[in-house]
Amino acid sequence: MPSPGFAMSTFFAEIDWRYLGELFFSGLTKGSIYALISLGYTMVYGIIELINFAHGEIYMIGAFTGLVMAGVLGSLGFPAVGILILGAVAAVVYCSAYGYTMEKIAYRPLRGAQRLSPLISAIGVSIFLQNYVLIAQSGEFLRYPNLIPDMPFLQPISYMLRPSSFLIIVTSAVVMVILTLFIKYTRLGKAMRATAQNRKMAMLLGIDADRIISATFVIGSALAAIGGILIASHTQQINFNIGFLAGIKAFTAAVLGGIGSIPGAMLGGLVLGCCESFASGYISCDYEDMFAFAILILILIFRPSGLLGKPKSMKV
Amino acid sequence: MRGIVRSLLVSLWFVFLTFPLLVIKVVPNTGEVIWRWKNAAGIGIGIFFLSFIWRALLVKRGLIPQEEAGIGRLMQYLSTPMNKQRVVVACLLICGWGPLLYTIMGSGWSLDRGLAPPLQDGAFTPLQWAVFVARALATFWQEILAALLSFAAVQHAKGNGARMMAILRRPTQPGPARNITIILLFLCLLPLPYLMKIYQINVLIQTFIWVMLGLGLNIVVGQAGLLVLGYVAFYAVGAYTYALGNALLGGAHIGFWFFLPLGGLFAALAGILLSLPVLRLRGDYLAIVTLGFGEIVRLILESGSLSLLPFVGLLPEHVIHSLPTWMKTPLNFGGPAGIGGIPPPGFFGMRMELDDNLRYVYYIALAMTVFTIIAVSRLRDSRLGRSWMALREDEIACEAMGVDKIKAKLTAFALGACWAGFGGALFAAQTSYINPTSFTFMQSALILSVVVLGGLGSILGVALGACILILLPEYLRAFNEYRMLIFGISMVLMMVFRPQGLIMPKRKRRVIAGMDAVPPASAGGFEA
Repeated sequence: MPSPGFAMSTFFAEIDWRYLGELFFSGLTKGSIYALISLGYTMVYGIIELINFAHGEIYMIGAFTGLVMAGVLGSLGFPAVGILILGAVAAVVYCSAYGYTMEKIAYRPLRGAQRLSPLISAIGVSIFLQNYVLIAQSGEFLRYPNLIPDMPFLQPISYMLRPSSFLIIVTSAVVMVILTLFIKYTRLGKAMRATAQNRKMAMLLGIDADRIISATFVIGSALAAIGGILIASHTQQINFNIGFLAGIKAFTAAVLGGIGSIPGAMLGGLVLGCCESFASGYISCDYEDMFAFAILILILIFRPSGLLGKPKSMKV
Repeated sequence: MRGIVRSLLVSLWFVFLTFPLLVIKVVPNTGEVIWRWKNAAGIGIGIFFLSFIWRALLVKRGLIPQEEAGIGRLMQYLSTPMNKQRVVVACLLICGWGPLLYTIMGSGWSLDRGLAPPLQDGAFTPLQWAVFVARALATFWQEILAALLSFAAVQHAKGNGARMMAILRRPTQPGPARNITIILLFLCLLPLPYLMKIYQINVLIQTFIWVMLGLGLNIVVGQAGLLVLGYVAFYAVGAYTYALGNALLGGAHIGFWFFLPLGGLFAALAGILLSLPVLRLRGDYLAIVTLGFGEIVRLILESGSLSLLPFVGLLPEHVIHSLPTWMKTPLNFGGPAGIGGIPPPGFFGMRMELDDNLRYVYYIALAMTVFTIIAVSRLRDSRLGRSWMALREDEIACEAMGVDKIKAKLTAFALGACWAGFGGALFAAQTSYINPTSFTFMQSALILSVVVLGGLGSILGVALGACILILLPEYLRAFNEYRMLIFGISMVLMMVFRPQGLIMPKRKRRVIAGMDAVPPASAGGFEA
């Protein structure tokens, strides 16, 4: 029980910096993954205003594809780094294909339907994909091989930054920079932004909206696949329902940052990851998930448009 | 020809898509790789044929032009009623009667299902025969359903479709036909617990609870247009009110009948508590906050206990001493293990066997469902109900017309949550054991699916949706591991091919003479 005469100076003196660093990096690791997944949510939402609940399953499928590829390539005698890279490429290719197919089957026919229909359809896709993996692969927790090479330069801070965490943070930072440049400067990226701003106007200017929406799903799924394979090599075990909670958390991150905003999703992911990590480290690990949702609710009540979102005014 | 090429490409695409997960399997411990080429072949052939059906259905819905689909020849074949009939009957024979034939040939006919009449008594009384026949019918209801469906399909193909639909539609319109149908349906439901097995009675009770949940959520989502994704939290509040109340006040012999209204009341209070901060949020933000609320409630239940100690601890020592003990003892939720030993409802202190008790719960659930349907339909037509619908259609216009927006939203949340509380208390009484796994986000999503599947805002539709969503997985139990897979697919298909739900809500419209040019309002529109 903290005493009433609680002095700030003793508080700082008592901080365990080692522990703090550990929590910070574990938060950053988790946050990077959330950010990678939430980018898919936020991009899809920005364009067609759909909460794509099946996005978490794409992440799970990415992890499973990586696992299967690792098994096959491993039996052929590939080196670990080769397996990691080829597995990641396969995961990205397959998840993009899944994202594309999912959009084409479950969402495209619903364009223009009432708003809840695509949401229900997304829940259906989510249930379907989970059970598809359950039947096709296995319902048990599967061990994921350790493919990440040792990084000797991390030796001095290895107590708080594992090689896998380092890889996750660096990879997601690189991916996010590439995505930002892509959205800002390429033709497709510009078309995407135009479609998100005003689909009808973009179509009038000769942008094929259907193609842009497909491209959004493909890019979002590819990012989720990278997230999936990274987290699988970090936690080293996967299961057919890991996508569900990760999906909800990532969506939370997207809303936290301001849904529809790409830098917002990155920031939201990192903030959520760090908050969770600190809450579980300093308060109680039972409340880790609860804390994430509590932050979400508070932010939405006091700043409903999220951290970086633009407030929308009501129009008659 | 073009269609065949297209289907071939689609099937190749799906073979590629399913290749890593469906064909390759790595055995976890040994690392041995198994190649299951059979699956790839199955997917290829299956998708090849399914893609024809998919495109035909899309053309029928007007989503793609017929030339693009490349199925002109097929459509031409189907354009004569005779051919259409052939195809439909063939499909139904495969889908519906297949399992029946399988059951008969697989020696599952009577002995397995416990249908053999007790022969040691000698002759049968007429009553025994009646029970036997009724029980047989109840057991084979899926086959009966298949028969009815194939009959309907034959009629449809013969061109009697329009007439049959008119007959089917009659019971849903107000009037004597509907009243008679409702009374007949009610009478059919009455003797069921004496004809069915324990398991089936449980499924039916579950269906009734889900009808209540669906109707409650329908108030919030369908009528007031507020998208709530954490509805299961209110259900949990109702269930835990009964379970905890019984655990804390167990000695006082306060039973189900006290906790049922209390569960509803607490759930309504939770609804108000949730709605106060979110009054100004709209659309998807509201959805995500309610989702967060639902998850928080589940996590509190899972974490095992909730105590005031961290807050009480901040007070000075002498104040803590003078506080009553209940403020200092944590409230125990039982954690992931849940709470057991919840007594079934009492009936004036009568002692009942286990079976009889279940039947009693069945009748309570039936009565509650009837009560819910009546109350909800009265609410819909009331001043309050109309203000909800106005709120759904346009918030600003609704305020301009003098509707108290805050009051309308609060009452929608409170009344919607209240039914979930009743349902939760009933659920606790039925299972006598509850744990947090019954209150996950998936359940919220399923309740929402009930509402949307049935048709937003339509009471009959929601009831039908609940029956389908609860009974469909039970019906699909024959397919065992594939049932959730099929359930997911059917949710997607339903949305693609009938996005307005099974039954569109009919709104009363008054037409002013000379205003025929006004386009009809879209039914059940949901805009956030």
